[in-house]
Amino acid sequence: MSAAAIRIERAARRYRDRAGGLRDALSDVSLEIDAGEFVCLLGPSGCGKTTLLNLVAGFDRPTSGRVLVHGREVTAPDPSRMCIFQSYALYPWRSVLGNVEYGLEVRGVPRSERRDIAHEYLRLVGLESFASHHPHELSGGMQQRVALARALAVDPGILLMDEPFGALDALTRMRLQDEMARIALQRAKTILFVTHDVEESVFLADRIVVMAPAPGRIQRILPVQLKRPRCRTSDGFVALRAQVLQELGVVHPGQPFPPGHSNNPRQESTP
Amino acid sequence: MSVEATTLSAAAPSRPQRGVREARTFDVLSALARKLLPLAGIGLLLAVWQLLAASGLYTVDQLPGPLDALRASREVWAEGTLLPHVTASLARFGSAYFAAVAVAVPLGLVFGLRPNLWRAADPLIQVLRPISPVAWFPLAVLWLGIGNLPAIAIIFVAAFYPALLATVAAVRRVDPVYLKVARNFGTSGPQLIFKVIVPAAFPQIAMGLRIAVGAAWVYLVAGEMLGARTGLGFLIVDARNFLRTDLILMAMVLIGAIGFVIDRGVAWLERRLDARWGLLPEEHP
Repeated sequence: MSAAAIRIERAARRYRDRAGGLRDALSDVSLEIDAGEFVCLLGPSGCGKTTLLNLVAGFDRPTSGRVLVHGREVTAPDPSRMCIFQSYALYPWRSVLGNVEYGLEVRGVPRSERRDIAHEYLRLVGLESFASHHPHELSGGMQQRVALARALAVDPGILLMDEPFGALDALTRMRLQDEMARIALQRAKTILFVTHDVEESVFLADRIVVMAPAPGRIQRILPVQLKRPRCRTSDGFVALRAQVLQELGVVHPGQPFPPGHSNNPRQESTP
Repeated sequence: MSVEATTLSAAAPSRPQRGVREARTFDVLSALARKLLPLAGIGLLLAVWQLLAASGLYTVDQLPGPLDALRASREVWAEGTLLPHVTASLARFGSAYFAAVAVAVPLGLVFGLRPNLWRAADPLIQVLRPISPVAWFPLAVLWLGIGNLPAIAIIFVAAFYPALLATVAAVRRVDPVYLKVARNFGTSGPQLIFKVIVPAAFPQIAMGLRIAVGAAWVYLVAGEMLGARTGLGFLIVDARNFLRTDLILMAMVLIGAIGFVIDRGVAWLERRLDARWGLLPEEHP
């Protein structure tokens, strides 16, 4: 048996669309993710990255192939694989503390114990003093931190994050990326992180899985060997970012870098 | 405030100080007017009522004025019969309403959670619902006799459908991502229903319950005309038999006023709930 935390074997997911035609959301994807590894799924919309995440989460089953987690086939969602959604999905009728306690409550952890655990994770995300607030009183970034604390509270080995910072403004997003990098390092979680933000993937990932659409598939896997904590303006970072952009076809090989500067992309097509 | 006004006038010297003060007086007046505005309609009705009564178009027996109605209320109050009528009505209304809610909400939960069951029940409900509670009168009397029970049954029917339909709709409209999170945490069975679905659906259910309160109160009077010996509906029937139009009008005003208070009370509860759910901005008085 392999040591991989997540092992995706030739997974495909085919949907029937409204017109009755078949669409390959995901075609023949194989990927192995080690325990403690931070992997970003990067690509344009429609490349199947969320589909793949849902297969690993167990919300969806592959049409062919299979997904193994610690050697066992995934057939249903499980608290050992917690999802984080872009919309936070906090329960508005519960306080912040109540939200973080939720998973422990379902599991039957006694009240005082789950309260202690919830406070611990609220401290981890820096929101201890907001325990008695309700989600709607918090900013988007704070709400996503509560969602993260709620997921971490049940101590999942694997975190599955679906564009978790996509709805946040740029500065808040960077702050949360910093926090995410810190928590990933501290808590040794295996993380599968869906994003379409190149910089985010370079900042966070140990490996970037670049995906392509129609049918959804893996185009290329790029290891990120930058030292942590990473600096967004270091030469290595900028170079890798350019390489990823190139992989995505946003920047073309002949183009000088850094991209975008003094370089009119239209010039290329001019004869 | 005054600091602001000074800086404002310093920055724009062309604007005279007096203009600012006048504007402020105007603000106070318009704020007062806004507060009094809800009374305008009621005031207008009272005025028209009084004018019509004084016009001589109708006799006092046909249309007594507002003051006659007020006098009538003092009379029944002094007799000590008014309060028992009101409490009898409220007791009937309360028991019928809560019985309707106690049946409609759990049933709505089941229908909302089981789409196939709802597919089977929906046409039946939609056929029964347009039958006015009043149309049930003959059967209510045949089956339940006269007195308390038919009145309660009529109010029950009136409150039942809005409560049921709101609950079904509320459950079906629960955000799927809430259910996804619940499944992810391993929630199932009763926990899923009581920890996630019911609270998530609650604001919308509450809206339906408020509509049901209104409907129940509207049919209270009708129900109490089916042989009840107490209550505001009976008061109207009784006053009609003695041609006491002033008492009829008084009872009507009272029914309206109590209905208004009940609705405001429920609306207040609903607002507090919505604020807790984050559906409304928190109030800052």
